[in-house]
Formats: sequence, structure tokens, C-alpha cells
Amino acid sequence: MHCRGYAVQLDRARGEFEAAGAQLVLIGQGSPRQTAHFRRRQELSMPVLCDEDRVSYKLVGAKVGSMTDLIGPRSVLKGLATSARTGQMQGRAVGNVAQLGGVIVVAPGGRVLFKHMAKDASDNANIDDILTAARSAGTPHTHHRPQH
Amino acid sequence: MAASNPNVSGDSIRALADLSLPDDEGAGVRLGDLWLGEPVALVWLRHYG
Repeated sequence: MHCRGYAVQLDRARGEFEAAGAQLVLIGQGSPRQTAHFRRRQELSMPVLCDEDRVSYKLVGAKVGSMTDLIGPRSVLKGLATSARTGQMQGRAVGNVAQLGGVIVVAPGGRVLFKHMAKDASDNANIDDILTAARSAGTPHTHHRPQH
Repeated sequence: MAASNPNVSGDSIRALADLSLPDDEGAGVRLGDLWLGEPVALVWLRHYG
């Protein structure tokens, strides 16, 4: 219930990341075809990369959840709140449903400024915190500023 | 910032940098190229449901 809603929330914040001079890129478990369908269906403007073998999930240390992590009360209640906020409901899952997600913010040169790996299905990184980390490394785009 | 633990081993970030994943059109994207010139927030989704 959290995945689509979180993706939509992130997409709504994409302009703020761009203004901070940072990119926002999603990685999912679907095939390119499934991912294209997901992007269209959720009207996502940001890029989504495909990792069907979950190699990057393992490299970054994303957790594979237990039953409690996936359908415990905390997870269910937070999922309902996300659905109410975004209008997104749980759909048919693509990929390993026990796989949890996470976020890293990487600065040019490869320095990791922020890392949040989900502890359970409801545990998504706060978008403002991700943005703050991105701003700490980014040079805001200036090409829209008037020239004097 | 209510930062989470930003510790990612050097080996992990180098391995991530060298990893290439297809986009939704099947074109390969090397992850390390994403942070060559600007910061990037990489978000791993649970699933598409």
C-alpha cells in the first residue's frame, strides 16, 4: 500500500530536487515493460530503473522483511494513512513482496550523504530529509535566473 | 536533518557505481554516471503494488 503512494509523493517533490541541483531516480523490481506501465499508470515524470534480480537492493543493504515487518499493525495503519493522503490504493504487487526499500543520497565523487533503509513496510524516508541532504551537496540550477 | 545512518561501505558504493540497470525503455544506465556531476537521490521501491 505504501509503494505507489510514496512514488507519487516523491514525484510531486521532483521540482524541488531539480531546483536544488539534484536528480531523483527510482529503482524498482519490475521489468522495463512493467516499469513503463507503472510510470504511465502513476503518471510519474521521474526516471525509474529496473532491477529484476535485486542486485542493487542487496548491494545497498535493503532488508528483506519478515511477516511482522510487512503486515504488522504499524505498517497497516501507516499504509491506510498514506492511501488517504495520496488517493493511492494497494494494487497487484510486481516483484518480491518481502523486499523492502530505501534511499541513499550520493554527492558527486561518490560520497554518501544520507542513507535510510526501511525497517518495515511502512518505513519510508522523510522526503524533506532526503531533500535537505540533496541540498547540502547540490549547486542549485541557475539557468532560470534573470541575467543582469 | 534527521539523518539516517549514512554509512555505506566504499566497496558497496563502488559496486553500485559499476552496476548498470535498464530504464523503462531498456536502455542501460550506469549508476555511477548518475552522480558524476550532481547529487542524486536513489530511491529503492518495495514493489509496484
